[in-house]
Amino acid sequence: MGMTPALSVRAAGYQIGSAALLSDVTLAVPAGGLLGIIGPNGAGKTSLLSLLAGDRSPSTGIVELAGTAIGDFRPAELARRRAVLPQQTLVPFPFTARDIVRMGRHPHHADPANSRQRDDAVVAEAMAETDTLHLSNRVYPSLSAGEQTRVALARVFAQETPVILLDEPTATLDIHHQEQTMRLLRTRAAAGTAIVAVLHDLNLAAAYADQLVLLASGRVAAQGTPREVFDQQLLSSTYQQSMRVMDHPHRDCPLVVVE
Amino acid sequence: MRRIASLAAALVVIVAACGGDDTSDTVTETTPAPATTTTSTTQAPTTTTTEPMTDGVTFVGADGAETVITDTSRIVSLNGDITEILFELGVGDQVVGVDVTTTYPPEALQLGPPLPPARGFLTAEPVIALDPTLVIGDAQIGPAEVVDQIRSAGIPVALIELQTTLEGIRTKIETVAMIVGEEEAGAALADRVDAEVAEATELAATAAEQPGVAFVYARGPEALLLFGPGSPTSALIAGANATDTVLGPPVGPLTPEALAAANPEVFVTTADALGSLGGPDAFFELPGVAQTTAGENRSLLVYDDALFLGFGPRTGEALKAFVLDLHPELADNS
Amino acid sequence: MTGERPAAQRRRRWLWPILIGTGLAAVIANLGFGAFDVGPDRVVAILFDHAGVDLGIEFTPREDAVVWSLRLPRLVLAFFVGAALGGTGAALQGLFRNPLADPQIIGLSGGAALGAGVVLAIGPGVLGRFGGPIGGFAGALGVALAVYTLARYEGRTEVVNLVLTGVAVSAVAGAAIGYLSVAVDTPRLQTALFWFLGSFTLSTWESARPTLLFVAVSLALLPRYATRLNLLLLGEAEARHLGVNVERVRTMLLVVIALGVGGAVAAAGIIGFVGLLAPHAVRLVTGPDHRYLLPASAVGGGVLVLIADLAARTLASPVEIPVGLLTALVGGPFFLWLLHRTRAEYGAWG
Repeated sequence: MGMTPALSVRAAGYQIGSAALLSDVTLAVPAGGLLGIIGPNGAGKTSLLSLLAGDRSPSTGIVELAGTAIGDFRPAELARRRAVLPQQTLVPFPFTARDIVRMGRHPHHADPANSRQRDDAVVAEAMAETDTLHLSNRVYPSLSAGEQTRVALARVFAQETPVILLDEPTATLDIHHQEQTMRLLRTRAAAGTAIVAVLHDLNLAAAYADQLVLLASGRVAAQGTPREVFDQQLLSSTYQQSMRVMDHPHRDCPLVVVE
Repeated sequence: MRRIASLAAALVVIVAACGGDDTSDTVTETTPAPATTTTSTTQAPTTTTTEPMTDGVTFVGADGAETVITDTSRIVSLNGDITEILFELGVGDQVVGVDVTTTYPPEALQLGPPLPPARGFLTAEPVIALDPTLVIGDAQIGPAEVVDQIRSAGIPVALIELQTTLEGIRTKIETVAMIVGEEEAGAALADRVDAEVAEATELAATAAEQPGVAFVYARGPEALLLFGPGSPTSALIAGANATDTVLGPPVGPLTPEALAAANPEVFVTTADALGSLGGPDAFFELPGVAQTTAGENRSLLVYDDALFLGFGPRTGEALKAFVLDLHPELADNS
Repeated sequence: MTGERPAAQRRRRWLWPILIGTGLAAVIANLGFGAFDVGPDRVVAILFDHAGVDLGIEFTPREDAVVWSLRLPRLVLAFFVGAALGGTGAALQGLFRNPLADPQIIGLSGGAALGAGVVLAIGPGVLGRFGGPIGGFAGALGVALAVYTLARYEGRTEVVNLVLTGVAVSAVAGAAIGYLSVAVDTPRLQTALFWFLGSFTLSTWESARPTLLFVAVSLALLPRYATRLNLLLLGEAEARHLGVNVERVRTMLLVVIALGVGGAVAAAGIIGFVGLLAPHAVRLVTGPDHRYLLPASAVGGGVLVLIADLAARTLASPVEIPVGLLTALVGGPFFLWLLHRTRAEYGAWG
């Protein structure tokens, strides 16, 4: 593992007008790490993800990809370094699922080493991983929300980037596909990808992320391993909901239940 | 005629398209139109020249185009007054097509369906389909692209200057006569028309009173026009020893204000215009009409469109009827 | 529609034979039929004669003049105008991520008519014959930028916003054209009708040439953006994540689209709904992939306008129906159906 993290944020703030959406956020994700961003609604999770993606520039501080300021990359270069799964992808035209996944290969088309065969192989592998091969010829807008998310995830995998950012990848999935998707992300991370995911489900976050950032009102309320962050009082006050943290009976991670 | 008709039709569509009810502004802006037509008449004899050729006539038209005419066996006329002149010249049997403004003579109406104006103007193919050897129209035939299209099919198109004065009728007749090679018949016809016009104006000159007249034109209630000084009808009104009471532009909108300012003793209009309004009762119900002297007396003279506005062979006849209608006391002297 | 990939590929194989076959039939019919009928064999003979080949079929000089000088420029212009509207319609639908986008519906045609009208009213000056298309281009581009700025919200265009913005822009442009046409001298009155109703009646080679150039440039450039338009359909943020320089592509596309629409409207007035009908019909066969959709929509739009113009010239012969009226008669109901379906499927966000 090199000394430079795959993705890092130093003292970043983000303001729109006089409203500070994020203040003083610092974090780093090494290759192979899976960072979960948690926090109540309006805490700034999506804003943070858009800074990480390079969609928006921080008002203060800096976001770096492999040691280079993210704003210094040209769009095409950036697309080979980080992939983004949005909360929902609406497509108002009847592309097939396979068409959508194939679009993930676009950043590689400028690469002479890339080939049509390689595209096909990567697309097929990504669809197999996300359990969407059987949807290949279905029209994307006709798929269920969960199926659409998995197809979109396959597209993100097909992009073959060292950094993957996901905005609530499990929100639309059933429990089986939630677990399957999180395992997939772990596998990807184990293969050397740096992953950042905004997660609503605290127990999924605790079970699969190796590091967590808890955001509250645009500030980092806590960060560290799930056991470090899952402080009963901190969670309860942050979410304004009385909660109990205990040990997961079968997994080596904390478990949170509503009191 | 065609110009007025297309102008009125155009206004209707524009007003509708604008979706506004502010018709007065729209119509006011159209008024420059007739001014150009009347000024051009004085130049007619200088810009229209004809000279005999060994194998035909070379004619420089009102549009500046030089046309060589070698064959007059199949003529298409694009104006009602020109059709009348052609029949009066004795070449009516060579006329194979006329446009919708032709309403006289009856033989001309036997030629099959008239050439339609498309959206107020002509299209090329129906003309070409008649396989003419010569097309004659006045300076307002257009658009120029359609004329070019007809010419591109190898058909000569002669466009003569527009004439809207009593004096200009001679020029018009002689020009048409030269184009079809009937100069002698043309001179005779011009003499006859001049004599008829002179007779009518001389008769009118004996009248003691000069009634105040306003000419109204309409293409439906949405397109109401008031013709004033400088318009074609003012020449007829002057010839009939009457006063054109309209103060405004040659062609302006008919508004209650303009009517009150004019306050004519007699309204004059055409049969088609009156028909488009729905008859005399509808006319007298137009805003402002009833408040004029002519409106109070329901004094309205109606003439055939082609007869009254044509400025062709029948203008002497039209003028005489107009004089006698305005000055009924002269009926005994005539 | 099953959307099965093999089926889509199979359908795509038939696309070009059908388009070309229909197109050739429309060409022969357009050149032959009219107030002055010329038989199809003679039409072919005349065309070959001009290519220096004598087929041994007799025809008269007048038939030659009608086919070659009168109808051919009109036909070529009609095809290119239709191609411009079909191609730019498909591109607009992709760019706005909205199946209801069409040059007329969103006001580009109105802007182009106004731009061309202004140039013609004040006189083209040194621009000459290019004045109309240049004015049309400027007008269409102005409206395109305005609509893009006004109708979009968070990277998407709401159907109602898009259509209403187009309605407002069209109304302003229409009123301005109406004002122009009465504020200048008489002959222009006819020009106003021409803009509102759309027509090829006045086509000559001289008037067609600048438009052909504008449309050709636009159609040549459009396919370069096909892949990026596909990515834009995922959403602007998603396209950016996939390496598309969204702002640049958007600006370039609007310019290229305005070139096509400006050129088309300058020569033929506002011919509505072609940009809607052609891409939607073609999409049923090609699917939404712009690499197939853009060229096929252009050719489809061209063929569609050829058929519409044939109907315009022959339905009420010898009177010509403005071709824009015919496309609106067919396109209007189609638009309403599409509006209903789009809202049913995607809600307000079409």
